[in-house]
Parts: sequence; C-alpha cells; structure tokens
Amino acid sequence: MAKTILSVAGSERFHSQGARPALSAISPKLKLFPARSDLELDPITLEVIAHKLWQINDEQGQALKKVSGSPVATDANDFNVVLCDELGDIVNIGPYYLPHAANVDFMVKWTVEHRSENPGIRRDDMFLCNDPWVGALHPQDVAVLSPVFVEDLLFCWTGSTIHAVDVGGVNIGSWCVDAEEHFAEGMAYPPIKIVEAGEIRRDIEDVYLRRSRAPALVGLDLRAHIASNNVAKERLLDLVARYGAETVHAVMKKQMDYAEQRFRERLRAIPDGTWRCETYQEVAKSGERGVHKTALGLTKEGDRLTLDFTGTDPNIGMINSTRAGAVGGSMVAILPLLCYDIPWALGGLHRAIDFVTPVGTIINAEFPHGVSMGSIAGTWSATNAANVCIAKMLSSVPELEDRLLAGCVGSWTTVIASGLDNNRRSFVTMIMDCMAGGWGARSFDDGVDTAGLMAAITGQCPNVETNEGFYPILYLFRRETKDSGGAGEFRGGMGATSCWIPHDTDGRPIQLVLATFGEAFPTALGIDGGYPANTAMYKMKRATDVADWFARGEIPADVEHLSGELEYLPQKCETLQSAADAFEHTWSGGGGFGDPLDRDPERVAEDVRNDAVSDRAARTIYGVVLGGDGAVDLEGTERAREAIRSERLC
Amino acid sequence: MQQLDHHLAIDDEQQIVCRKCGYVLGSATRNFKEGAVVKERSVLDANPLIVDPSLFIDETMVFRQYFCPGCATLLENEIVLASTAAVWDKQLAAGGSPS
Repeated sequence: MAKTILSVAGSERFHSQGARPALSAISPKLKLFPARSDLELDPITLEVIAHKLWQINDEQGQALKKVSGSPVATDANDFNVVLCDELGDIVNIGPYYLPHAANVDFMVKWTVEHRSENPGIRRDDMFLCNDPWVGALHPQDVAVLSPVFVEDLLFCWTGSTIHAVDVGGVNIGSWCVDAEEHFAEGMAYPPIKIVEAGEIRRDIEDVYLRRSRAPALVGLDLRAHIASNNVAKERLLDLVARYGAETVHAVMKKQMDYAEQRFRERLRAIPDGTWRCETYQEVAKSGERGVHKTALGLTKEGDRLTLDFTGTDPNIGMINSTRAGAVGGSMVAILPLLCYDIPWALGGLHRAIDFVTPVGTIINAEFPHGVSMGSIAGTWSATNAANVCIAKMLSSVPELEDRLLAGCVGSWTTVIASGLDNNRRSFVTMIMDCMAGGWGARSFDDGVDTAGLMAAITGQCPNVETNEGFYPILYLFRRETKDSGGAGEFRGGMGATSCWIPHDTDGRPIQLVLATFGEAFPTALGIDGGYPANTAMYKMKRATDVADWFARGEIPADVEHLSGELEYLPQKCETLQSAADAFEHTWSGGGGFGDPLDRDPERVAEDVRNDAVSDRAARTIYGVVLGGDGAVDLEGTERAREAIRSERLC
Repeated sequence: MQQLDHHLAIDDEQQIVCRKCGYVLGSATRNFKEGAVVKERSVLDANPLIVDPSLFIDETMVFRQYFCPGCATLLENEIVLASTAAVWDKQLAAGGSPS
C-alpha cells in the first residue's frame, strides 16, 4: 500500500510559479537597472550587439565544458547556460539540454524576490540552487546564478545548470527508485549564496558536497559553473564598456520583444483550434505497477497558445516534475517546432503562452512528493504530449506541415553505474548512450536515425571507447535497433541498443540503478496514422558464457546468443551486475507519419536490406511482399495490401 | 476546404471528409473518430519489439486504430488505457481558417 504523503506547512513559499516578481516584493537594498523602452537603436548596432550576446552565451557554454570533468557535461552536453535580464526573463539560451535553460528564469525570479533583503544580492555573488519547487528539474540538476552589476545597479543575470552525477539520496546517482517521498532523495537547496564577493563560501560548499557520493566530480562541476558565469560576466561588462549600459540593456529587451512579435505572427498563420494528447508513464517507483497519465490540451487562439494539463493524474512515487519541469518540458517542443527561425528569447515567447498546471499532479507535484526522476519523467511526458499536439496542429497548415515531427525518443533509459575498478577506485556515472534516440518522422520524409534528443539539440552519445576508458566496462556491441522506428508512410528514426559487461573489476560486481518508462508500451507516438516506435528495454543475461566467446576470439552480437538466464528488469530498480552478466538496454526510436500502406514498397525493401525493418514488419504492417532476392513483388504487394484494407473494414 | 490533417479536411458545410475518397465522417463539431471504423488491438500489434506488458504493469493498455470507412486509410492510432474513451485530438474552431 502506498505511503500517505503529508503536506508540509510553510513549504508554499518555495513553490515558484515562474512569474516576474512584483517590484514591491524586492528589497529597496537592491537597485535595478532602469529599462529604457524609449531608447532608439539603429538596426546595425542592434544586430551587432544581439549577435555578440549570442556569442557570449556560446562562450559561456564552452568555458563550462572546458572546466567540468564530468562526461555527463563534457561528452553528453547535459547542461545549459543562459543570459537573463535583471528580473530573470531569458534573453539567450544555449543549444544544450533545453529544459536546463528553460526554467532558470523560475530560479532567478525567486532569488530576486526572496534573497534581495537577506542575505542580499551584491556584486560578485553567486547563488546555487537545485530545488525543484524553486525551479530545478530534479535535485541532480544544479544551477548557479550570477548577478551582473553595472555600478550599483543590477543589470542582468547569467546562469548555468549541470546534471551532477550524485547529490545524495537513498539510491546511487540520486535516482531514488526506493524513496517514498522527497526526504529520501538528494537534498534540494533553495538559492544559497555559494560565492560571496568573488570567493567560494567553503562552509556552504562543504554542506553541498557532503551529501554527494562523488564530491570531487561535483566540486569540479561547481567550478565549471563559476568559470562559465565569470566568463559571461566579463564579456558582458566589456560589451557595456564599449556600447554603453543603456544600449546593451535595450538590446536585451528588444530581443525579447522581437521574439514575441515573430512568435505571435507565426501563431496567427495557424487556424484556431485545440489539439489533445494523452500519454502515459508506468511504474512510479520500485515495486509499483501502475499506469499514470499526462493529459494535454493545446489551444491556439489568435496569437496566443495555451497548454492545459488538466486531467493529468495525481502525483505519485518518483516520477513527478514541478511546474518548472512542465513549462521547461513543453518549451522543448515549442522551440524547435514553432520557433526554428525565431530567437529563443524565452522572456518574449512566454508573453504569448499560458500554462495551466494543476497542483498535486505528476507534472506539478506538491512538496514533499518524490521528484528525483522529474527531469525525465514528468518533464519528459510534458515534452511528449506537447510534441504530438504541436505536430497535429502543424498538420492542419499546408504551409507549415513540413515542419512537424512525430513523437521523438519516448523516454530516457537511465543507467547509473557505480562500483570499484581494479585499482579499488570508486566511480559513479550515468551512461549517456541513449542520447542517440530516434526522431519522429516528418510529413515528407523518414525521421532521422539515432539523431539525438529533442531536449538536447547538441547532446552527444559518448564514444564507446570514452565510456570504456573512464569506467570498468567492456562493450559487446552498440547498434541501431531493427524495427525501432515507428511504421508509416514515412518511418520514424531508429533508436539503438547497447550491451556491456563489467571489466577489470577484480571480480567485484557493478551496482546499477535503472529508471525509465515506456517499457510496457511505446511512448514515442506516431501521428496521422503513423505507428509508435519501439519500447525501451532493460535486459540482463545472468551468468553467461561470455568468457568462452572471448577465449574463442569471438564477440557475441546479441544477448540471445549467450547462454544464461534472461531477466527483464523493471522500469525502476537497483541491481548488481556480476562479471559474467551481460547488461543490455534499448532506447526509443521515433514515431511514424501516415498510413504504412502508403509507403513506397521500394523504400520498405531498402529498409529490410539495411536491417532497419524486419521481414515480418514489412509483410504484416507495410503489406510488402519481397522475393527471395529481396526485390519487391509488386503483384504480391498489391494483393497483400488489399487484403489488409479489407481486414480493416471487417 | 480547410485541411484538418494529412488525411482529413473540413468542407464548406463544416463536415469532416476524407481527402482521398471524399467519405463524410461527420460534423466538424464532433470528434472525427466517431465516424471512423475503429479496431481495438493488443499493444503487441503496435510494434514488433514490444514484449508482454503484464511483465511490468497490472492495467491493460490498448492499441486503437481508426480507419476511413470509405477507403480503409489508417487515419490515426492511439495507445491508451482500455477504459479510456477516444481522445478528441484534432478540433478546429468554427470557420477553421488562420486568424
């Protein structure tokens, strides 16, 4: 029986709505740089400074990557960087993990409102925050926010977020599959002054790192945050020195105004209407076997968009996000699908979007419900739903339908590995292979195979050799997964599968924590008749004969080829992997577009030749008959397709 | 005619019609799925790689497919709890033209 989670009186003030703070809520000690909406700018100066802001934002990201020692950031790009105005409205975001940036405004706004009086916000201070109710996606996503002052006036903010490999909690990697509530998860810090007058507060740093199972790595990440913010601050002040503070400030405001104007123009070109999606996560924590719905109604009216999550199921287990996650997750779909040629100045875009996020649900959890999987659970389900709703909306617009994407990478298959290597050195990491997810089909072509994540445009799947170099594991294979792309007139992009064994651990097992959804049913949905992608899957083949294969000089190409007992691992679990255990995980491809019977049979034959589609799927889903030589049997195909059409109407 | 999606449009009488065969599925004020042929299948039919869902969950999910009664075109798919009604996923406002 599920434990009853009691509300905590007084926790309400941490529950950020992401609203711009009222001036009356800000301490008079904090003087804001005055906005000059009447300032005329010549278009060339405006463009030069706007591009310089993009460049600063880019350099901010590069600086972070050069200092962080965590492959999660350096190889997989699970971080992001932002520039905000003085009250937290976002002007620029980096092209890394988008939800990390799309919710920093929540944290800055809360900090301005709640820290301006005590302890105060001053020049060369920085604030650390990983509190999901304030604005983080989950406690592992740690942000550092840096105010930038011109003279004694708060001019703007820079910020960065990195997924830290461990910030405490009952399970390694802080993916707390066994937690009943948030109190057993990684400690969530509301904004705390980690840097004061340019110096790291050692007492605060110790409090922060004391909870981590990887304090050295997380401590290095902290310095990456600080370096990144320092670089951005220095460049911004150089820009101010060259062009004047009023001019630079005005460009920041005009970038947001321009983004808003262009976004509203795009919305006006779309018919008014409502598009809905119901998508599901299963298994809220280890041992739970339920199914939990995220419901989204997306309404476009005039030049406004409303995303209404009414009907979403109650908060439960570890799969919840807070409002920041629902908003950030939705923006993951809105930015590439509707704003592909519009500056991603979220402070402007948000003026045209309303979010309805009922409190006490899996997309806006009440404290202290579990949120350790928030970034890839409630947040991801919001992305899935928004992706499908926007795709269906664009499908109604002849001029924009070539911009749609069917459902992309329906879930993230978390794999946290920890243990000791052959030198008895401990390690904790997140295996980032599923960055190579498949994208949804388009209205005119197939989805891109192993393209990446919609949430992480520049996310990268680490090299097998990188993972083997850093950690005591040995890959048996990593490959694209046949049939993982959803069927359709245009096929979804393929996802992939990895398989590895412990290596050089002196016989010690590796501990794994696994957390995903979409293992019982697919969650990358097709549209307009397109089929869904594959399901995610964790498999363990116990006590295999892999050593015998190596002794023969052979490498198995599938876990099915190994002897041993096959175990399907559940969506949330902690397990041990011994030296002879082969662990395989499969992640999602993209959904299809259109009726599979409308697909060109020659493309199906090509897919079969390329191991993208099985003979069975070609025959039963696409109705394509192939000869012994792999060529299309046109008459047989026509008969097979007619038979399928007849069966459809019986 | 206002395009509703890849397969469907709304005609001047505010009826949802199949763009391939012209079959009228019903009023634009109603869910097109009410006028479609519906087949409720096992989730296992949605993709060849899916394994028995009862390994993981206790509830029953279904794979629903909606076809044009005129030409048998597959209009849309759903993966939902078996107890769930058809999702009204595409609903243009009256008039249906860009604002």
